[in-house]
Amino acid sequence: MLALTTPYQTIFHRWPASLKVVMLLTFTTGLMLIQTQTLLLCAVGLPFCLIASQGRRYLWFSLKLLRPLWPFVAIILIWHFYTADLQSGLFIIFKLAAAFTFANLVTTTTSLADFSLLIEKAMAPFDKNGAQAKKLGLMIALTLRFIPVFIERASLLRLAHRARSSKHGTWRIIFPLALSALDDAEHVSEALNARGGAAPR
Amino acid sequence: MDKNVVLVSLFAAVIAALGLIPKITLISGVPITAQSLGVMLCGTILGARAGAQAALLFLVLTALGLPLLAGGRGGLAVFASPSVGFLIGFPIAAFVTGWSMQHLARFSIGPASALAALLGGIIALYIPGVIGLSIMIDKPLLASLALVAPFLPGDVIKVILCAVITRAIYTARPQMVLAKSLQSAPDAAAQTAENPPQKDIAR
Repeated sequence: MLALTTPYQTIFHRWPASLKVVMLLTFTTGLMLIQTQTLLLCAVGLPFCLIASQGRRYLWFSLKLLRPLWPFVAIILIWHFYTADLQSGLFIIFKLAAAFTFANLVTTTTSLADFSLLIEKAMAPFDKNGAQAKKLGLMIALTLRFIPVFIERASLLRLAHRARSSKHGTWRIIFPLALSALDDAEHVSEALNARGGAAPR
Repeated sequence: MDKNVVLVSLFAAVIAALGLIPKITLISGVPITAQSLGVMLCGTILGARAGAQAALLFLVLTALGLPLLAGGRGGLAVFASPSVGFLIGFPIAAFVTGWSMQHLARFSIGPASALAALLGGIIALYIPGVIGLSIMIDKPLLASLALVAPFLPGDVIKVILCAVITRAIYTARPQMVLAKSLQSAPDAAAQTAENPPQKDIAR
């Protein structure tokens, strides 16, 4: 399964996931509260400096992750250009970019397994004998397995449709697709049941 | 119980898989995706509780760093992006869709799911979505609403699709449409005298 973790090793990979998440929450909260210009520039610089300290390739990798933000940047710039208040527009953009980059820093250096452990730990106080955490773990595993199965089923149906029909409109496969997915779910739940159930009490 | 766990996982996977359908990014930067169709289906088929759970499970997987959002986005950063309100809105939308579905017993399945998807998948999704956008880009609510308004035609298409799919599933596998079986008896009793409860023909 594809993940967003970076292929480049960094020092942050060795930091505990809980520390990174707490740092992220502190950073984004702090960012919201900042009003003065110098403080903002320092705060914005922080995630980029942290990333840059781990080498040029990782910096480039992280900068590329900023791409989804550009339409927002364009809107904000246009808006503030018309209201002749470019400075506060830049403020917003910097804050967005800094929060986004810091969050990406945490995501790209923390493995799925570490995150799952973190969730399990966070759930522990509300969770007698770990049944809820186990259930969540099972659901995550099932979902991750269902995604490729569902995509595979869709492409098979598309091929079958193309082979037998001269009509356009692959959207028609949506009905057999939905039904076969539900039938799969039925089979899986029977199989689970036969093996002792999802959350044995 | 087991069936619920499996169905919730399946629908989380359906939301994820719908993200693979190529997205169209609007000028405002919020992409048009098929994913909200998945959220609507969670509600119309699984009902309020399980539907919201499926949408929540999808969000958990996204936050864990899986690139499941349309366009291969994911990770904690999407919760720091301007579309955060729409993401938080996913479970709310699924819940409202499911809740409406469960309380629209007097309509037949098609119109009921269309109305439920409209209430949940559009109205309940846009309220947190627009608020989130307005906070993140620091613009008034009305301006933010105008920025996302171009989505609405696409959403109407998704509402219709959702109703058609839900109806097809109900025809072929009635026992799978949990929302329908959750349409509670107290609700039927609550119906006023001028609208006496009628038996659903399809049942």
